[in-house]
Formats: sequence, C-alpha cells, structure tokens
Amino acid sequence: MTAPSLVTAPSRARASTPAEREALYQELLLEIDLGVQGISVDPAELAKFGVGSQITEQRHLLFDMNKKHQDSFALPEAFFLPHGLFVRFRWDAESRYRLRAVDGKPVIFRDGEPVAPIEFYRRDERVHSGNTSDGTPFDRIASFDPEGSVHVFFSNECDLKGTGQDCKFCNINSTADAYRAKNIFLKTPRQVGEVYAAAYHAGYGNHIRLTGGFIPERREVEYYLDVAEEIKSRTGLEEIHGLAVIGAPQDLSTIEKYKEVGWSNLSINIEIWNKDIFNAICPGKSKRSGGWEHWVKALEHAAKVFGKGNVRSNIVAGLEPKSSTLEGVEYLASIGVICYAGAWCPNPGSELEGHRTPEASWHHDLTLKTAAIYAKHGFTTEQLYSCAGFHNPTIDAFRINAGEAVEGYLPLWTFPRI
Amino acid sequence: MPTLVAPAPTASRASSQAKSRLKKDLYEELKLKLAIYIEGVHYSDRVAQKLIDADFLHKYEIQNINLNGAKRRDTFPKPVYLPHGFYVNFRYEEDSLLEVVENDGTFGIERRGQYLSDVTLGEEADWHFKKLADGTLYRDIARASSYGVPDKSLITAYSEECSAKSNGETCLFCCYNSKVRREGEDEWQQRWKHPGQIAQVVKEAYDEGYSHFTLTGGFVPERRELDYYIDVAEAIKEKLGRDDFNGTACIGAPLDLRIIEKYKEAGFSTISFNTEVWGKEWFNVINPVKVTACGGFDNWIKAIEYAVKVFGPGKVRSNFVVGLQPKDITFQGIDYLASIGVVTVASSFIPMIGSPLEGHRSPTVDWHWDAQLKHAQILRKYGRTYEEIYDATPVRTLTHDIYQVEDETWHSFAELEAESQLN
Repeated sequence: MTAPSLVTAPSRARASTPAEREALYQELLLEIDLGVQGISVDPAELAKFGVGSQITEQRHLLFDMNKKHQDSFALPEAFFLPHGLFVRFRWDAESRYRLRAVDGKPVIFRDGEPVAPIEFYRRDERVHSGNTSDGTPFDRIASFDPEGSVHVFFSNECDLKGTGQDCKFCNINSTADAYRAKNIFLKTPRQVGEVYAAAYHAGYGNHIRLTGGFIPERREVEYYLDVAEEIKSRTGLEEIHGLAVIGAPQDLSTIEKYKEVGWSNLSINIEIWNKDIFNAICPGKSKRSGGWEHWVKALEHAAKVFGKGNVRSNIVAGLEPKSSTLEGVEYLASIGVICYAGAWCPNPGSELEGHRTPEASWHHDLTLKTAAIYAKHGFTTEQLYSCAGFHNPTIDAFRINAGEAVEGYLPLWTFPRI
Repeated sequence: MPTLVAPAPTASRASSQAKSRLKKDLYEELKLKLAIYIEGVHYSDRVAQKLIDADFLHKYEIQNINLNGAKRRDTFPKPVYLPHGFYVNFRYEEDSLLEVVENDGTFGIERRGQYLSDVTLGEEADWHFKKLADGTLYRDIARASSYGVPDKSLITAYSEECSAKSNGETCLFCCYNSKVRREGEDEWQQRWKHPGQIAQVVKEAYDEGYSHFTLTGGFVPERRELDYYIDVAEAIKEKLGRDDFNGTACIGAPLDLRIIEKYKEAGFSTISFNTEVWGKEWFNVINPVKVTACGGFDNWIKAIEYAVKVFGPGKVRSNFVVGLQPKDITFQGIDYLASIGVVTVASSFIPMIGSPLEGHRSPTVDWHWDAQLKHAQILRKYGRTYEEIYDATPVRTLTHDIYQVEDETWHSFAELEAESQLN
C-alpha cells in the first residue's frame, strides 16, 4: 500500500458525489474512533518517520490526551487521513488501531488489517523553530495548527489544584506535574506577543487562542488585556483575530473589556449542560464562578457584547446523556453561541481516569446532530473556526454537509489574513 | 439460610505456598470473569452455529424497541463456567476483543488470538422448564440467580415495566422500560406475575435446595407496591408452611418510613433500597424517578438508616451501579452505608441496549477490578459475613467469590486439601 499525498489536494473543481460524501462520513467516523480508541505504535517504528524533526511532536502544553503520561519517546502531534480530515494523534498502547510503516509510509491498521494511509502534520520552520528574545523556543510557548492558528496556554496549571475542586475530567495539573521539566508555568505577555507577532509577520499566524487554567485570585482579565496590548503593538493590528478563553466572571461587565481591547471571540466553557451533573463534575466552576445559572448568564451576556457567532462554549460530550448535551447546544445556538461537544477523553491523572468515553458511533451521531444545529442557526465555517481556534470533527461534519468537499476531498481551511 | 461449602479439614496439610498459588489462580480467573462481564464476547458465525447446536445460544431471541430503534440481540440461556467453577454471564458485544472459540467440541475464550481459558457450558435449573397449572413456564416467573455454588437463590421481577416510563423518569442506566419482546411475538405482553404463581415456583425451588428469594421489579403505578409485596409474602408462607422464607424485598424508599416495618411484619427477612449512585447531584441525574416518587436522595438515605434499625445490621442491602461516577464518590457512599451495617452491592455498570445511556461505555476492567477488591474489603472491615451477603443479595456477585477465596471456603481449597491428604 502506498500512501498518496494528502495535505495538498490536487486541483479539483467537481462537487463530491453521494458516494464520495458517504466516504467522507465514514472517514469522519474513523477520525472520531481514532480519538476514542487511540493508536498504538512501536517507538522504533516512529523513529523512522522523523517525529520531532520533520514531523511535529506532541508537547503537552496544557493537557495530555494519551492513555498514559509518558516522556520516553516522542509521539506525533497529528496527521491527515486520505480524504483530508485532520486527526490528533492519541496514543494508547493497548489500542486495536496500530501505526505501522509500509514501504516507509505511515499506515493505520485495525486488528492487523490496513485501514488508511496517513500523512503526518509537518513542522513549519517559520514557527516551529523560532526563539523569543529571552531565548525560549516558540514551541514551548505555543502550538501551531495548519489552519494558521496559534494556541497559547498562558498557564499550564489550574488554581483549583489541591482544593478538591478540579473539574473531574481535567488533567491540566497532572499534565503539568508529568512534564514539569519541559514546560513553562506562566508565559509572560511579552513572550506571547513575540511568538504571535513572529507567526503573523511570517504569514503563518492569523488567529490566536489564549487559554489556561484558573489564575490565582482570578486575575485573568489583566493578563488578557496585557497580551492584547503586546500583540497589537507588535503587529500593528487594532483588532486581534483571536479567542480569549475565560471562566465566567462574577461581574459580567468585565466581558466588555475583552471586546474593548480587541479580542474578536470569547469562550466560556460550561462543560456540562445538566445543572446537577455540572455541580458534580465541575465543583470549582460551580463554587467559584457563581454556579451553572451564572455561566449561562455570562454566555448570554457575551453573545450580546460580541455578537452572533463570535462566542463559544464547550460541552464535554459523554459525561451526560446525549439528549442533555444537544439541548445545551441547541439553546446556546439559539442565542448566537457556538457550543462544541467534543468527545470526552478520560485522560491520565484526571479523576475519571480509567473511565471510558462512549462508543465512536455515539459521538458520530452527536457530531452530525451538532453540525446540523449549527447549519439551522446560520453559522458559517469561518465563525466555527474562529470560535474553536482549531479543527475538530464537528467542523468537518459541518463542512461536508455544506458541500465544501471537492471530489470527495475536504481541503484544508485556512484563516484569512486580516 | 445458605448451605455453606464444607470447610477444609481442620488439620490442613496443604502448604501455604500451594494455597497462595491457588489463590492467585483464582483471582486471575475472577478477573477474567469480570472482563467477560464488562467487555462481552463475540464469536464467528461458525462458533455461533456450534453454540446454537449445543442449545446454548439463542440467535436474535430478544428484541428491544426503544428510542434508538429496534435492536435484536442474542441471548445465552445457560450458565458458563470457568475452570475453577466460577459462573460467568455471556453477553454479545460486537466490538469485544474477547472471542468465544471452539476446538473439537471444547469451547474457550481468546483475546487477540491468545487463548485464555476453557469454558464449560452448563445447564439451566431443571425447575425452569416446569409449567404452572395455567401453562406458564416457571422460568417466566422466576430465575435461578446463583449458578455453580450450593448456596442457591432465585429472583422474581414481578413486572417487566416501570411506571417511571410514563413521566420520562427512567433511571439512566436502566433498560427496564425498553420494550422487550421475544422474537416472533407480535404483541408486547405485560407479564405481571401473580402472588400464587410466584409462591408455587419458590416452593418448588426451595424443595430443590434453594434458600434465598428476591422480589423486585419496576415502580408500580401509584406506588401500590406494599400491598403486592405483602400478598406475595403471604402466598409464599402459606405454600412453604412456614413464616421464614429468607426473602428480600427490593423496594423504593417510602415517604412514610414506618411502612418499612410492614415488610418485616410480612415476613421478609431483608430489604433493599438501591441507591445506585452517591451524592444528591448524581442521584438527581441518574435516578429521576427516585427523586420525584421517593423524596429524593436525603429521604432515600434516611429510609436505609431507618431500615437498619428495623431489620438490623447485615439485613439491609443497597446497590451501586459502579462506573457511573468517579470512584472516590461511589466509595464514600459505600463506606458510609457499610459503616451503618448495610450490605452494599457493587454492580459494574453495563450500558444496556434501550437504556438512556446506551452507547456509553463502562470504565476499564482494571478500574472495575480495583473497585471490586475495594468493595469486598469495605464489607469485611465493617464485619459483614458471607452469609449476610448471600441472604441480602439477589444474585451471585464477585463479592461472594472474593469472600470465599479469602475465607478459603471456595471448593478448590477443599480439593487442594484432599490432594494434599492423598500425598
């Protein structure tokens, strides 16, 4: 089996046929299943592909989505499937999916049968090899996605640590402990500004997502304002095409400050739609940020301030019944908020380690229904990407439904240059 | 009362090393038992035909009709035994890595091509195939629920529907309200069991050495369950000709807690209130009908506390569906209830077809194994005995098995001892 070139679709013009669309939906199911079940691999096999040199490797700047924490060999960050779908590599040594080399090319197998040739996401020297003025490598400050987005995790710890109020699905603090020697606890606004400006001036970075754990004393607004000023002064931009991910502020008028300093998008992740499960799963968010009702109020207020399609929320799908998640997605969409419902990954070090997310078919169904809700409420692909900051299966489903695939191939979407 | 396995001779000649090796083997087998339960099994068409020929597999016998569409599923009417005699449930799971294989008439279990163990196909209880005067099969009234051991119990689900359905309040893990019928049946049949039918089956089973009976079922409309339970108890007592029938009444917490005394007066020796998950938030989410019909989590726990006073320590049972919430929260509940004398049951969560959580998955086998070991330790810590667990529990659980391994009352220890005596 020989893997075709996947990243750049050849010049194509014809819309996808029904059979090609069906193949895309099947690839979407595979994309989800690879996340649900993970991929096993022989480290010696990985070394042949050049992970860490030509191929981008996982950094664990915020979360570790692998089955276990491990730092003994580099794992690839992501890859493309044959029809163009982009998949984050999730390692699980016990998975029935296995990555192997066939004629030197990477191929995914399931139970010993080849499933799909893949093409790894490759390093881009414009962003992956730079250093800040204080000598910190760019890829210790941020990660970079092929759509042209820059992801900064300002803090790799959450202030809820040690309080017993961590979100039960979250492993931010465990990840910080596991990779402490390599990671930076707090990135300065200057470091963030330098990295984004370099990516922007190189023509690569056209969107930034700024996120992290709870900051002590909830001083996040000052930090986000400082980062915004750094970016604006270094790029000359007045508005930042970027997503600020925050906790619901006690004083809702704070939300307006994010808009005023130039952030184009705001995210307030509610995580769970059912109020009782929210209280049980997110005790910190429940106790520190005014509870579930206040999170919903914050989203309603943000939608008014930032406008339809510019505010995001997230539900961790699989922790509550599907009907409840869809109820949340539908309500939030009705007020102009794009709510993602990505598959819960019971990751190492979280309180739910050892649990398992629902079956891929469950998530596939939810993904298609969520994408249909987006379409019903008139959101656009650009709004979806701007609110996510990165690719996810729901955006793929939305784009396939919208006919964006050509000749059965979903081309890479990239952020427009401001 | 349970008929305990004969204890090993007092002057043991089996070496501690031999016992230790046996214990290790037994635990490995118990973990496989758990894995089969959690992951289910799959099989090739060839093996399926072999199982059908052995009258062990009923292909597509059951149909669930639910919100997710009609689903047909295979059933396994007979018990399966692992080499040391532990009984396991087979459950078909298309994606399972555990595969039933067959070689020259011997069935076994493989995982990814690695042979794990032989399995032996057993037989249903003989009385399952007897018929009542009205033509009803005994097995449609009650089922044997503890194969492979001399301590035999049976269970009756008095109805096959729960009134929570009408309000959309079905417990999220439960498939009771998924409309079930056997393949070939045209109509949904409301299979209510009448007290007289139940009493007849209990009598026959007890005559064959069964010694524990559980009465359970869905919520009865208008919560008229007390009358029904009393009628069943009266019918059984009359049929057996004695007042003590070692029965467990599995009920929802009443709003008036004094009602609990009526169950004791009626002759039930144990009572059960299945909490399922610990903590008010979780309880509200998972058990909506138990909130609206039973006064919520606080009243549920009060009912259990009250029942312990009425029935005594070791005479009240509460089930947990383990795997629905973080382990530490579940074990806060198990520890608290066990500390006041409750026989807790740690049932591993299986996301069943037709339940609101269909499509979800249970935690890993390792996660559950740790939970099972912890659970047995907690019951032991609070002084619960094997006999109490047997008397309060509707089915044979891993806790029974772990207790018997730790107590060295599992028959394999007697066999080891016998071998040592010969040598």
